[in-house]
Amino acid sequence: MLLESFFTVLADFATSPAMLGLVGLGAILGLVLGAIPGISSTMALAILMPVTFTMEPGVAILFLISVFMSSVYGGSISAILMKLPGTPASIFTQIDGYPMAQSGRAGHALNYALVASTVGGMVGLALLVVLAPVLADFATNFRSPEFAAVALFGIVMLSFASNGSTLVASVVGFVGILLGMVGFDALTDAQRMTMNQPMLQSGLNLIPVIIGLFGLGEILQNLVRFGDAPTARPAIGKVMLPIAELARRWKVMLRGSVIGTFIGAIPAAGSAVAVSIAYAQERRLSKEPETFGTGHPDGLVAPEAANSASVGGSLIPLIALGVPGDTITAVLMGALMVHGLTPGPLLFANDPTFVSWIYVSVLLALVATLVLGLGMIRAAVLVTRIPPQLMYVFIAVFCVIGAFAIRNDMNDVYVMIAFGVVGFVFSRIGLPVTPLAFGLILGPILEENLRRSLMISQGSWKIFIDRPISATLLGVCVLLVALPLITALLHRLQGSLAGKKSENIPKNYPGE
Amino acid sequence: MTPPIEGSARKTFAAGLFFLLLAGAGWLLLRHSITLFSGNQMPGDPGPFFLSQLCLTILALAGVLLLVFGGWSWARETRTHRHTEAMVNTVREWSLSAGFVLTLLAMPAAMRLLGTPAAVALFSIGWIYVLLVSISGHSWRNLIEATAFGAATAVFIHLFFVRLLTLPLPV
Repeated sequence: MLLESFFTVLADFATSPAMLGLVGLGAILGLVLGAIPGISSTMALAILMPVTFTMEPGVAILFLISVFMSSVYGGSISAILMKLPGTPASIFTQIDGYPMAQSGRAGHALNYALVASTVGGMVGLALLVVLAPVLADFATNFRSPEFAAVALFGIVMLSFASNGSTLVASVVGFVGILLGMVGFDALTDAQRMTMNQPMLQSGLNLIPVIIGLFGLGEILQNLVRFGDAPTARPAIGKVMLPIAELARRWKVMLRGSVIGTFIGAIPAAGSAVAVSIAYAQERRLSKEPETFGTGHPDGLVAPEAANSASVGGSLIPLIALGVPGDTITAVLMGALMVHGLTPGPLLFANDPTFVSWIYVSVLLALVATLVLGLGMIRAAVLVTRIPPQLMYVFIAVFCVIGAFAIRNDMNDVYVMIAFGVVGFVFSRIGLPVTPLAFGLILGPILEENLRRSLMISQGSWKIFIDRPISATLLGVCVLLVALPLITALLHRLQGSLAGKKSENIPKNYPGE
Repeated sequence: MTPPIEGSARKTFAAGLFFLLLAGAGWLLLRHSITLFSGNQMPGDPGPFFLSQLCLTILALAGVLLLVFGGWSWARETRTHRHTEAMVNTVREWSLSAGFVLTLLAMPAAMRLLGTPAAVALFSIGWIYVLLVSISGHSWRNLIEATAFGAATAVFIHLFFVRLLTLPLPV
C-alpha cells in the first residue's frame, strides 16, 4: 500500500517540471546557505520557512526538505574549505577535510563528502521507509500516559545529548516547557502568564521563536567574533575522483550510514552524537589510525555519511511518534504544524500519501544535492567568499520580514528579536539553546497528556507506572538525569581510592 | 568540583542568577493569572497551573544551586586585575550585537513610518558600513559598497516579498 503510494507520488513528481524545479531551487538555496560560514542547516530552514507560507502544505514540505538535505552537505563545504563548521556535526568533517583542502585536494575532499553524504542519505531513507511504519504501528497502542512519557523522554534525551551538564540542559528544557504554557489553557480556559496582552493569549508562536533562537541568535553570536575568521583560501585542485577510489570506501560509508541512522533515530540524540561515534569507530577500525586528523579520506567519509544518514534517522521518531529527532526536525515539525499537519502514528493511517510524499521529497532532495553539488563544487568556493557583513545584514532583514510574514503581525517581529537575544545570551553564558526549543514544542504535548492521564485515573499517578511503556520510558528518564550524578560520585570515590593507593605513580601518561 | 557550565564559575553564577530571575518573574506572572482563574476543573485534573508551578520550582531550585555553587567557586578563584580587562573586552565584544538589536527593535516602527524598502535600505546601508568600518576603517569605497548592497537588499525585499509573495508589508 505504502510502496504503491510511494511509486505513484514518485511518478507524479518526476513528470512535474514545477516540482522538480522547486526541488532544484531548494537544493541550491540549501547548498548556498549551508556553505556560508555561520549559517547552520537549522538556521537555513528557519529563515526560509516563511517563504513557504503561501504554498500548499505538500509543496512547502518538498521545498523545505530539499533545503534541509542539501544544507547538511552545504555545511561541510565551509568546514572543508575554511575550517568553519556551520553545525556541530560538521566539526568532524573539518578534522580531516580541512587538511585535505590545505594540501591542494579540496576538490577531492568535497567530492568524497558529497558522495558519502548521498550514500548516507539513501541508507537513512531506506531505513526510514522500513522502520517508521513499524514504529508507528506500535505507537497506535499509545494513550495519554505513553504520549506524556514520550514527550518527557524527548526533552530528557536532548538534555542528555547536549554538550555540557545534563542537569543544566534539563532545566533549560523546563524553561521551554514553561514558555509553552503561556496563553489560554485548552482544558479550562484559564489565562496563563499573559499579562492580559492579547498577543500572548494564543501562546507564543513557534516560528518567530525558532527564527529568533537559531537565526538572529547566531548572527548576534557571530558579530561578537566578527573579523576573527581565517582569510586564507585554499586552491580547489582536481574535483573528480576515480570511481574505484570511491567504491573502495563502500564499507566506511555503509558503517557511517548505519550508525548515523540508528543514533539519529533516538529522539534528540542528534547528528552531532552520530558523527562523533562514526568517526571514533572508523578510527578504531583503521589500520592507520595515526593518520586520522591529517587528511585521511576515511576520517571525512565516515562522519559525512553518518551526518546525512542521521537525517533519515531523525525523521523516524518525527513521522512515527510526532517527536522530533533533533533541532532541525524540530523546526521541520514547526513547519508541518504551521501547515496544519500533525506528525505521529495517525499520519500513517489517515494520510499515507503524505508519508510517501515526505519519502519521495527526501529521495529527490538527495538526487538534486548530488547533481547540483557536483556541478557547484567550483562555485562553492565563491559562496564561501561572500563577505560576512553582507550575509549577516541580509539574513537579519530576512528574519524580520519572515517573522512578520507568519501572521502579518509586527508583534511577532518583537518576539523574534526577544528570542534572538535569548539565544545570544544563552550562548554567551554557556546554556544550550536546543532544549528550550524542544521544551516549547513538547511542553504542550506533555501537559495535555499528563492532565488527561490524571483525569482518567482520577488523580492517581500510578497510571504512569502501571502501563509498561510509560513506566519504562519514565525509568529511563530518571536514569538519564541521575546518571551524571552517579558517575560523578563514582569518579570521586575512585579518585580518592586511587589517590591513596598510588602516591608514587607518575601522573602523566605516555604520549600526553 | 568543577562548575557545571563550561567549567566556568562566572558562567555558572550568571546562569544561576538568570534562572532565579526567570523563576521570580514567572511566579509574579503566574500569581496574577491564578487570581483571574475561576477554578472550574475536572476531577483528577491537577489544574492549569500545575506544570507551570512545577517548572518554576525546578527553575528556582536550580537557580539557587547554580548561584551558590558558582559564587563559591568564583570566590575561590584568585582575583587579579585581569578581571577589569576581561570586562572591558566583554563590553567591546557585545557592543556590536547590542547595537544590532537596538536598530532591529526600531525596524518595525521605521517600516510603518518610512515603508519597508526605505527601512530595509537604511538598516542595511548603516550596518554594512559599520561592519566594513570595523574591519578596514572609514573610506569612501566602504560607503559606496554599503550603499550599493543596502539598496540592492531593499530592492530584493520589495520585489520578492511585496510584489511576488504579495505580503502586506508597509510600503
